[in-house]
Amino acid sequence: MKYIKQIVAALAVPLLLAGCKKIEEARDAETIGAYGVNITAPVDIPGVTSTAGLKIVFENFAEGFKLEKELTAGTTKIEGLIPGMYSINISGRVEAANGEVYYLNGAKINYPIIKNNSAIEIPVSGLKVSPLVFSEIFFAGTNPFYFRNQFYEIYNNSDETIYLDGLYFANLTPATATTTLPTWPAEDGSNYAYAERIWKIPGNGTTYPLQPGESFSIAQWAANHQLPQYSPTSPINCFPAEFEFNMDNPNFPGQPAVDMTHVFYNASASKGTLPQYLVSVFGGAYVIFRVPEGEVYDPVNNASLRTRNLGSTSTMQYAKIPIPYILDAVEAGNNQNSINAKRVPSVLDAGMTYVGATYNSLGVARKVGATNADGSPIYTDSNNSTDDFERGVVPQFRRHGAKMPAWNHTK
Amino acid sequence: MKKLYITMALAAASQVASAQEAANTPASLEWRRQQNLWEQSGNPAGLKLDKPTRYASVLGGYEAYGGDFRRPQQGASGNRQLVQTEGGLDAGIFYLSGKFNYTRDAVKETKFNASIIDPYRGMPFIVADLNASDWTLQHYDLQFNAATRAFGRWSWGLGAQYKASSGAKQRDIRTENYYYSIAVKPGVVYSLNDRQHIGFNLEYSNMKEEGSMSNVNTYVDQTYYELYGLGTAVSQVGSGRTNNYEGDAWGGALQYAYKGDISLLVDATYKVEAEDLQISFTVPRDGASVLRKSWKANVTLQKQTPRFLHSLGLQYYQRDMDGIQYITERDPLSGWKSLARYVRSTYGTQEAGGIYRITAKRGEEYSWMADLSAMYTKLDDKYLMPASFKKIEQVYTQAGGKVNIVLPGNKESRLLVGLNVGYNRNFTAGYGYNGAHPDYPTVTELETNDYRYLASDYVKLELPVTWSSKIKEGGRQAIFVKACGRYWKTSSYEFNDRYTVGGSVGVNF
Repeated sequence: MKYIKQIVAALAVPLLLAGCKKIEEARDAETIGAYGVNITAPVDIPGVTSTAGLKIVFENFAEGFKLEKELTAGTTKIEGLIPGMYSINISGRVEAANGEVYYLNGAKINYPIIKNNSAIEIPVSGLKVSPLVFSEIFFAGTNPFYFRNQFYEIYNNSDETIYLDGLYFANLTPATATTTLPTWPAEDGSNYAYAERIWKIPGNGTTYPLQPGESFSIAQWAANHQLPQYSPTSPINCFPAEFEFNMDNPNFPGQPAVDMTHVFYNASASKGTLPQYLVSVFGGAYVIFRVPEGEVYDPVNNASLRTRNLGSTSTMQYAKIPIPYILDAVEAGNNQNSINAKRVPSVLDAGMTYVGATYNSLGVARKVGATNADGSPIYTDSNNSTDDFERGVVPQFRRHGAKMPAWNHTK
Repeated sequence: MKKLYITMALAAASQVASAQEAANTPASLEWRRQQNLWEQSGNPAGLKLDKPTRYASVLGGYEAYGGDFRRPQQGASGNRQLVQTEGGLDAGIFYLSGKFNYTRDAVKETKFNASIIDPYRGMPFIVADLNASDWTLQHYDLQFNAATRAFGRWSWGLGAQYKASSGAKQRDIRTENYYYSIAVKPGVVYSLNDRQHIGFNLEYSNMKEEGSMSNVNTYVDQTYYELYGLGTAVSQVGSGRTNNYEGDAWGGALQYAYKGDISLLVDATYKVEAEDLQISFTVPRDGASVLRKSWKANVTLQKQTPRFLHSLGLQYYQRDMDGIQYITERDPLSGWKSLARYVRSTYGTQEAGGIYRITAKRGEEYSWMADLSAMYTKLDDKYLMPASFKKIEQVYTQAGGKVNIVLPGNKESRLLVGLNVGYNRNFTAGYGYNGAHPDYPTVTELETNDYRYLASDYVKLELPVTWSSKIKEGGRQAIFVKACGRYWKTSSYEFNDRYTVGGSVGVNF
């Protein structure tokens, strides 16, 4: 009995102190105001001494806030920012002392601006301009719950013929945008992207030429989805697609499109038992890459080219794709607010595109920056899917006058 | 838990079943309560100074409501069943009063709330969806107040209240919520002399509400909006999130009372509350916080003549609330870190009002009463950056009265008929949204319609009728049947009307 007071006090005191702490912390919150930052953008390209004139864009996706300015020589003072998490992108062309023109790019993704007048250094470097780019992606599917009409269109954005033979396609992990990002081996640094499944375009090296201004599509299943037995409201008939991801499902048999060659899934070259190659209808992250001549890429047999997620107990193996191999990457998410769950390194894609819902029959299509003399498009490629893609478009093959390759099976 | 409530309620009722003789009509209970100024102050230590009597009451009732003149997150219609008991026990050395309420509320077709039991309890950081949905709610409210007799010049008291609620949304995105709050209120009164008393009480309360959202139809991902105030929202697609609200509050109040030819009670209260929202239990993230500071002052003057009781009450209330948002960063190993927090929105409420009431005495009850009241209300809500605002100023005036008709017979039968007529006049109203996504329904529907509701002029009619009679001639127990109808009619172009009708049956012991 004599201990009752002590017991009550022992229980009550921490409770009351916790109550005080909550109130004190709330009292300490600072009232929001506009912040400024000081930006420097060092560049390591010989002959380029200034980044003055480059465009710098601050985007706070959760706030729907965007501020665009031009860098000045040296340090650039930016005012009027709402404190928060920002995607900061620097891009533009500069002329080096020797007269060569470089397309420069630098970025900070999910960068917190929480201190007024803080200094931010964003290194910029020359951007590798990819000859092949994703020109259209349809991942959302069609209501009700029809997802077999997913497809990816890739365009020759250069002025040279490109042979597609040996071009790899992969979807990265995690499958959907999430803030629970995997933990990769520390020794990997930022040298790899991590793929769940990898496919390759077959051919002997010159089987599938793609002329400038031509595009090709890879369909999950290259059938006419608009047939009554599939999805009559499907916005797209994938029968003309050049390639398909054939998972050998007898219920959805192979079509005339050429089958992609399966390369990797969970440390195996075998396709596994899944009945289809379904990439998240919320939007995945996709890359196309090519292995440089003289190098061997075999993540199935070379254990150093694969890893598991060290942050989980799962034994699932993911393939490492060296960043320099990658030609183009596009990250898609649920909506504009998924940027805080970004999976793809900013060097590959500094932004994210989306259609805002699942099964809404809408896709994303790359914006046209200019037009070739023959009317075919030259697509915008600033390494930022937020800016480079039109969102919520009705999917179609070869929009903007892109041409069909001569070897398409419908010709 | 239900069994505990019922046992306690019955125990409270049975304790006072053999109480001393006193008038037991509904009007007599109202008459006593009107004179119990310390009870109105909320300081439990002053209850003995009210000269309390033993009483007990239990009732069960039903209400239904409907009509389009409502705030957007209220139900289009609904009904509720309720059980209420209360009683008081004067044991000489101490006085004990208790109360228990149970309400089951079936809310129909409510919108823009997918995450919280009461979207109007002062927590702006909730989740809204676009599917009109039913909610099933249950509320338990258990409270007691105890006061000692005077020891020298000092009287001591303790009050406590425990509330628990559960709620379930009936359509995707669904949520199942559990809420509790517990409040403890110790108090003391110092008697300067027989006529003058000074009181002081503290209050500490703690609350928690947690809710888990999910979809039953997992094939259809729903669009939902995380609300940050005045229409500012972040849209998401999926099955929602897990919300964990925890809050603490401290408060204190001072009272001064004088009892002579005129009775006076002055009461001033200050309270500060902080409530935090954490999202997810597995990897928790600081979602938001609110800091509420409220001031309240009441002055009550009463003058008794042989025939009448004149009462004049003045009151002022102010609540300032800060909406605090966090900047968070996810670390793959250690989870979410809060990097900074900012006051992003402020919500101000001011109320000032007065009421004059004249009550005609008849024995231990009243024969009639009439009152006239006015209440000025000002809302001043701001989202600081980007700047948005919502401002409302209005005055509500009401005139009312009750007549306590003696019915023939020897069972002290009464018919208590009332009528209240009120008019709300809006003087200032404005809503301006300057944030991102002005096309979101959180702006175009939720906040715009809420502003339209708050800016509306309306007339309110209320008609309460209570019949009561002793169960046995000469006995103490009195049965009563209550019916009440309320009707709001607005002149707004956007709304029409709203009604509540209900009835209850109960017994006073």
